[in-house]
Amino acid sequence: MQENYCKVYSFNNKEKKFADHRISVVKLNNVRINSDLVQKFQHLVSIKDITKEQIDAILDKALQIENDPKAFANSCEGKILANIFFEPSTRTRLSFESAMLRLGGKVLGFADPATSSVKKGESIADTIRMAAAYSDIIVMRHFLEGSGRVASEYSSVPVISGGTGIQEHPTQALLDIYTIKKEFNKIDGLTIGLLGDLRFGRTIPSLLYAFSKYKDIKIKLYSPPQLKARMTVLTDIEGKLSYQVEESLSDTIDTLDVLYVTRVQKERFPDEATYERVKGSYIINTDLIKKAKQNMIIMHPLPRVGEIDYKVDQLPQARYFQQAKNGVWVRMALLYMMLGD
Amino acid sequence: MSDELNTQKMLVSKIPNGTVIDKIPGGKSLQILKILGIKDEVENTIAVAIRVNSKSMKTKDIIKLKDRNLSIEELKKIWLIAPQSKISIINNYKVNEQFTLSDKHFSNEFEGVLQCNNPTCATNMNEPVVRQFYLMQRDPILVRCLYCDRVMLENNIRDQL
Ligand SMILES: [Zn+2]
Repeated sequence: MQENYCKVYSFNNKEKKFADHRISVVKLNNVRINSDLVQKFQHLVSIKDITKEQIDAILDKALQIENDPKAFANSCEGKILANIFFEPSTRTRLSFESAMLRLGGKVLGFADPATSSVKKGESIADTIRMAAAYSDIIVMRHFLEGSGRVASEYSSVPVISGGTGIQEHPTQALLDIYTIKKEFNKIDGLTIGLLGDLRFGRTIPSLLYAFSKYKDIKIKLYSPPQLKARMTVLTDIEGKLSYQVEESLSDTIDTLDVLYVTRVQKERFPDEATYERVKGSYIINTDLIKKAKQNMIIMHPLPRVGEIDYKVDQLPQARYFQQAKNGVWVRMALLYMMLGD
Repeated sequence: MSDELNTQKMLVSKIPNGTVIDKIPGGKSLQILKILGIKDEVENTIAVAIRVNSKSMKTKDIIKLKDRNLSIEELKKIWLIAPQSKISIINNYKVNEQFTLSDKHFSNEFEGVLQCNNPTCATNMNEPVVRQFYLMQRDPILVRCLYCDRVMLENNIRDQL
């Protein structure tokens, strides 16, 4: 049925602009961010909601903060971030917490819905209205798709998505792009390989939507057949981003500037045997990296569960730990910009 | 030819009050009856003509509903599957209002009407939201949930229409 849908869809050029259309749903305030003539955005629940100029402004601000964090140490003084995590997360939550503390702000929230009234069936809308009353900005992670939009509709303060179901993870994509830009001093023209679970990995759609705003990027997709990128996401980027589904990483790794590895989780497979059979083809080791360009970088949103051999950590191409650190700068930039006057 | 004459006769019989849905693509009237919740225990008089010869569209279906007005929700559902349908609202044997659904300027972005078929979509939980969709394509229909981004095929939403 998926195949069918793809075929039918490709005949209809008129509606292809869909992803653009969606942008109109977003509420934008016509406010300047610092010196940049960039529109301020109220919420960040999807990468589709922001423009390339806004992404560039975030990356610029992140770099400015990274170069001189002290200059921003008090810039969110007196402000409170509510970290509302309906699904356990260590990295994203701590990264936002660190970002807010480094900006001189304070943090409250819950990390485990089992200990909150959410367990008793409180809606997203009610939880968010409560959180908005206690804070100046909200970061929410939720296991349901569409939860980010629901939250943004009921919040009187800005909402940043910390991941919504399998739908998107916009701040992860932003920090990934920041990492790439720092490395190559550009995004345009790069060849980027995405490997692993491209179907359920929520960062993948966010990354592809972000890349589709840049020029001449080539995407190569490597995944087990069960975990191919969703047709909806691919049709959204059709005509805006060139992508190719590749069979063998080993044969094509020499063409890549960036290799972005994601977790292949056992739970996604019908049985253990299928998983065991498949997982070997998606493991990165030192032998494989020998075939890659010297200046290729290896990224991974972490945590890893064996996709990248520990020996690879020593190679000059490994960037995943810097990537995690970059998350703090990018999230500081977001909090700073979204809380700014 | 005489068959056609009979059909024509049947269709010209006027209703005093109610709604006529004309220019339904041949065969789609059964789906529209379903949208309108018309089953065997219906009380009001209803006339349905299926695959009548038509100058402009080869064959068409016609539905006449005595003493029944359609809600916006019902009109939108019909618009989704048969946008060229012509609606006439009859009062006292006279056409009070007449329009083609596609001229109604229902936006491709619409509220309600459907339910998202993604079981993990926030709109399917206990949230006070109005569902929103975007009609990406017709024939066959592709509709996208503007909350969770799920794209539904015509097959997925048939039992809702
Ligand atoms: Zn949905």
